Amino acid sequence: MNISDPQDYIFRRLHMIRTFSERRVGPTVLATIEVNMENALKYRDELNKTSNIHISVNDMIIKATGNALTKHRLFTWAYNGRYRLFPTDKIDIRVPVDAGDDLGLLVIRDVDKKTIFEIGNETKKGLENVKNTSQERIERLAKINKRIKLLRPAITLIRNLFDIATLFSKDMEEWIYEKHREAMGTFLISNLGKLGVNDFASPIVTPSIVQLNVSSIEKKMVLENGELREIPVVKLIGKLDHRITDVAQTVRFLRDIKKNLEEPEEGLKKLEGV
Amino acid sequence: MNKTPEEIISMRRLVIDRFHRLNCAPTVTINMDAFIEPALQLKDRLNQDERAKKSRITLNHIILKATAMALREDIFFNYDYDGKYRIYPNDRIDIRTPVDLGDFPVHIVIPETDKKSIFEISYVFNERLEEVKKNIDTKMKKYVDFQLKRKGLSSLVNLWTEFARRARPLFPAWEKRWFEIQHRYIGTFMVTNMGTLGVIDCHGQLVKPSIAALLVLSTRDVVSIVDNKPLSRKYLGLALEFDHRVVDAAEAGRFLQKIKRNIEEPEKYCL
Repeated sequence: MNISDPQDYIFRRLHMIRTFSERRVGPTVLATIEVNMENALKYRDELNKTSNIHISVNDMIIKATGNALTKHRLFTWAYNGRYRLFPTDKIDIRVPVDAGDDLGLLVIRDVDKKTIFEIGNETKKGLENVKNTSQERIERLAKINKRIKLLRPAITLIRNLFDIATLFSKDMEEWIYEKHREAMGTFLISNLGKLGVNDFASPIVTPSIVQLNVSSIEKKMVLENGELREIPVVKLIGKLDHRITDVAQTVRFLRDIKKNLEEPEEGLKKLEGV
Repeated sequence: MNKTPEEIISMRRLVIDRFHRLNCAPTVTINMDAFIEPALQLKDRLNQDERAKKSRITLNHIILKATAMALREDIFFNYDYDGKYRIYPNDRIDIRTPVDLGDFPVHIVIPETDKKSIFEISYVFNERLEEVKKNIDTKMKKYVDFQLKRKGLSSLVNLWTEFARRARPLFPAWEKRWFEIQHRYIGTFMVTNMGTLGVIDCHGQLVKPSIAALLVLSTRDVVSIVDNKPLSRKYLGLALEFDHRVVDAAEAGRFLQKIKRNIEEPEKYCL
């Protein structure tokens, strides 16, 4: 990572600095379960033989999570970190993507109502778009930062004023979360599998109630009928805000994702009228 | 969960307050694996006893006993810490264990766990669980109704909670009394067993006055080569979370080793 101007870099990271501000970080608990990916990988290979849209493990995880979320709607709601919840019936999954020096975000909308091919197609196009525009975005933000010196403090001030206003107006708070959803979706999946990361921990931030971290696929030795066998496994790490949910509730959700991945023909179906 | 946002918030009001940022501790988690087959054999043997007919022994009961015995040796982990500069000693070991009853976790406290036999622990645990199952719906309904229907009064209670949370640390006698009252409902040390849920790893958030808590993970089969033949052995994951302000990883590791030892040699340390 080469940063030519630290202040430009900070300006680019403003949204992340704000996201992880003390006020937004909740009491985080992480719970991990393991998924046998044998069936999912076979299913992916079969799909990739019959279609020219390349389906990745990440696409399958997005779909499996979207379908599982139909049974756990609470986890798509927004929580303000105090005593208010803001419901939604949308399952829009946000996936951070690696765009070099920049963090790209893809939002796949209505995941439960889409087929795995539609999701695969959207992620590929989105990823290409992020990669193509990333450098341009970095340069544009650097220019703005240099031209308008007071922009960063002005953004911080406006955001803080909004924060104070939301203490007194539920409607204002609802409007802010609505805009947040439009930009950031309703659920986050962070998949570091491609980078070879086999475990990771991060704090939960409001308005999320649960987020999903996904590790790389690893080979695990098992003994079956006296024979040693290798199976591919992936770790699903559920990150939860303990004020609003518990480990048991979250693990039930993780187990639904696991079931969808271990029985992919049924679990990765497009859901209608849920 | 078919509940309105307001009902969910009312149900979880106590938990939201408990996990208030003023109560949260800088939590570190360390992990260890314990060879679990001796404990499973002990469980099977105890369940053949006459006394187990009244209430069956589970692995969880043996773990509770093993933890209580380790706490006897390292009683510091049973003390209360105010999150600043005071520690309140606590010699009575009352282990609490949360149980999953659907929408809301319920905590079961086993008073003086170290002084009870595994049969007694099992009996008390099951008796309290039945009692809780019977009353949970009515109690929760009452609590939610109070929050939603008697808004004025509940706002006063919430205001008092907010004030007390900030004022208590200034008055040690009040804080000590508050911790003692809390012991009735949440005991002095928490053991959470997530093994049945298939959780292989967990990092928690510790809240005051706890100094440490034990998270029990699922059992897993580890394949090793013995005499040129593959052999599968069962191990239990243990995770200890602790407040880094008052405990270091080495001390916590030594305490966790004692729990592991008690689980691996239950006949010697748990009977």
